[in-house]
Amino acid sequence: MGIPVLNELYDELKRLTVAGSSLACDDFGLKKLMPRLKKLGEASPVFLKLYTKTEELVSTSENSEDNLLELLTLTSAILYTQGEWEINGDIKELEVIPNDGTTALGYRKLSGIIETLTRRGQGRYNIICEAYKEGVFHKKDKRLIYPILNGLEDSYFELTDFIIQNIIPVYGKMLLPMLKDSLKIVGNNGDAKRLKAIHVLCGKEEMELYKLAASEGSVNVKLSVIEILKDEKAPDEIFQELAKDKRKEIREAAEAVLESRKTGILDKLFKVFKSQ
Amino acid sequence: MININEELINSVAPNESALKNALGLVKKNSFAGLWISEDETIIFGECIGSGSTNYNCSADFITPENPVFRCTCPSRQIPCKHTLGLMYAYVQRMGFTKHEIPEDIIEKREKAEKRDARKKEVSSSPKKVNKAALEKKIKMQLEGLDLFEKVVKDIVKGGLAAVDGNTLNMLEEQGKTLNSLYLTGGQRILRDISIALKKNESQEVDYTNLLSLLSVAHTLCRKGREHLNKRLLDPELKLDVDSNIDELIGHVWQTSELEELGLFEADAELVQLYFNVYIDEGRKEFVDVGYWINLKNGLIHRTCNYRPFRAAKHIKEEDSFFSVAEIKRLYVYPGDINKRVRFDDISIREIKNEDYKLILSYVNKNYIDVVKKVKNSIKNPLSDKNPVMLLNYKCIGMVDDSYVIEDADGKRIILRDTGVNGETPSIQMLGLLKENELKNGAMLVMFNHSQRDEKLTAQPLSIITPDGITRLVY
Repeated sequence: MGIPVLNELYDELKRLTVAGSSLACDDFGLKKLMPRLKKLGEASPVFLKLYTKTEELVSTSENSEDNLLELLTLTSAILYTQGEWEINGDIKELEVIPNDGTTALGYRKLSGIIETLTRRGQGRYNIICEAYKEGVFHKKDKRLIYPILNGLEDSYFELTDFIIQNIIPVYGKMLLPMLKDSLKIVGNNGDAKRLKAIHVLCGKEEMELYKLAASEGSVNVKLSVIEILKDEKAPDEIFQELAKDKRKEIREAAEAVLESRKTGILDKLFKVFKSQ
Repeated sequence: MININEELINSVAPNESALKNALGLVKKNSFAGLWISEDETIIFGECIGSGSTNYNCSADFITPENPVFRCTCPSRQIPCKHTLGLMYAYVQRMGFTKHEIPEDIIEKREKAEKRDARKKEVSSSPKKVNKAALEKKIKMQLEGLDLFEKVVKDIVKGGLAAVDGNTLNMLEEQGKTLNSLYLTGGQRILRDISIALKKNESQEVDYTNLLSLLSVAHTLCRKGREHLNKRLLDPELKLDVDSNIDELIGHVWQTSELEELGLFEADAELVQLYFNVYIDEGRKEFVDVGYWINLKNGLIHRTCNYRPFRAAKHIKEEDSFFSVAEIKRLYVYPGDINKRVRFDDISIREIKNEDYKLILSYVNKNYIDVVKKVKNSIKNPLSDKNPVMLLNYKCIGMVDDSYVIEDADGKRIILRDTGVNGETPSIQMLGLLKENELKNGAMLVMFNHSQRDEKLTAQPLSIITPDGITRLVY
């Protein structure tokens, strides 16, 4: 195979195109390749042509730009025929995520939403709300799944809350494997949102994950899980543990839950007492 | 009987916001009257707008494959939101009452009829070519090629590293001169070279791209000159029907020219398999690209709709198309694997299971032959470097970290996002395929030769099974 020498020749030609073809005459790099090209040329007319053109380029400074372009074009054309395409080894079956998604939406509908969810720009919240009202997400188009998950990273919390509360439930549990795959308990705000999205989809089912997040999570994740555990009426012990956390904001959030529970109990007792 | 469906409305709408506004009009009950003619060839209505009087809009289907939309509103978009709203109202079966066709529409129909008759008369009589003017144009193009070659050679002689701001300005100026010499192809390449030189990303990538552009420029000069000289010797000064050299030089094909050269197909049926919109900085245009399969012969055609940045607002943006397009006259441009096609009038019919089966009967089954064909095509510096083909696969799987498709002989092609032309990634979507799509299907792929690792790979665009088409991009 002539590939190594072809690649070397291409690299030399690239160097000369960048530096200027006027330096090609007597170029050492090209001259070094010539014996190999000549040898290959004995068996193949294409390489013989490469050799002749290289010789032309290094032998005279006249028309160097023309000679260089000619040789470059020929080398590139040969390289295009040499591209490797086969791959050996054991083939594994592709693991797919079970889903009931479609690909029913057209470019005009999709592209605006994908751009909104993947890039930053003004009016993002309104665009997504409008699309939701129009029923775009109800088509469960698969091509929106990754942009939606990406949207959970958005810094505009109203948008992420809208996605969690409205769009995630539309797609349902087919999103779960992707959410779990990308979730890092010790991660950033996006992970806190992912955990909330998991909660919206699974409720109590993922209690073990919430408990793990409560004990090992990052600040953002812990703050998020406090809200989740509060909704799920988790036992006081978890909050008492969180109230001992070294971070002030986590302690305060956990204490606030415990406080509200106490007030709630007193209120109930008071109502019972009053009714009797 | 008027046959309107949402696909038709979508295909004629100039953009997404016009559709949204049209739906808004229907929701708000903005139509003061909705009527249909006795012979059911036209729907018309009155829509409340911001003007002092209601707008009279109509959708005339007297020629069903070429409907005419009219409205008295001042909008420059045709069809405007009022006419689109009228059609939505018809699709939603809002009460259309029978009514006589208004006088002004009858007059307009008559005028259009006369205009069409005149057009037919003109097109049936052989088109006179001003040979002296054409010869002059070709000579100017040859002059343009000389200038283009000189500019390219100067860049190569001095070296890409020596190109500075002044040279870039000079390239822009020379490009304008080439344009005036009918060599828009040359102007585009100079612009692409300027853009690539201005980019400050990884040096390696830029220079590889620049080298390809210089090769294209060099070949265009050589082959273009050869072709134009040959044309000058031909008493008819005919355009080349075997290659796209004329288009690359800067010729804009007219349908009448394609018709004259026999480059058309009557009664064709196309199904779109892929659609996308690119930004072409060199052309300063948005390009709406669609890849379609011809149900008659299985060829994969390409449609291109160019929308210059400056006029983009006023030109219809194309969209994905999900039905079968029945085309009376399909004009086919000269080209290679994916010949460009153009059509004006289409009828829409719903896609059936038999169509999917027919598409599947056209797949390429042998990867060795496919790769041979692709390599043979892309080695030509002037060819499309990303041909699109429909491949059969026994299974989709993974070898180490690479996604692959395997044919019946166990040959595999690596699947990878091309990353060219801002192509939307699609590899991620493979993990969301359904079980029945993983085996014995057809995949529309876009090939790409990466000069970085010398690999020829393919990007999956769509999956076709007997049950339907799954689009992985748009």
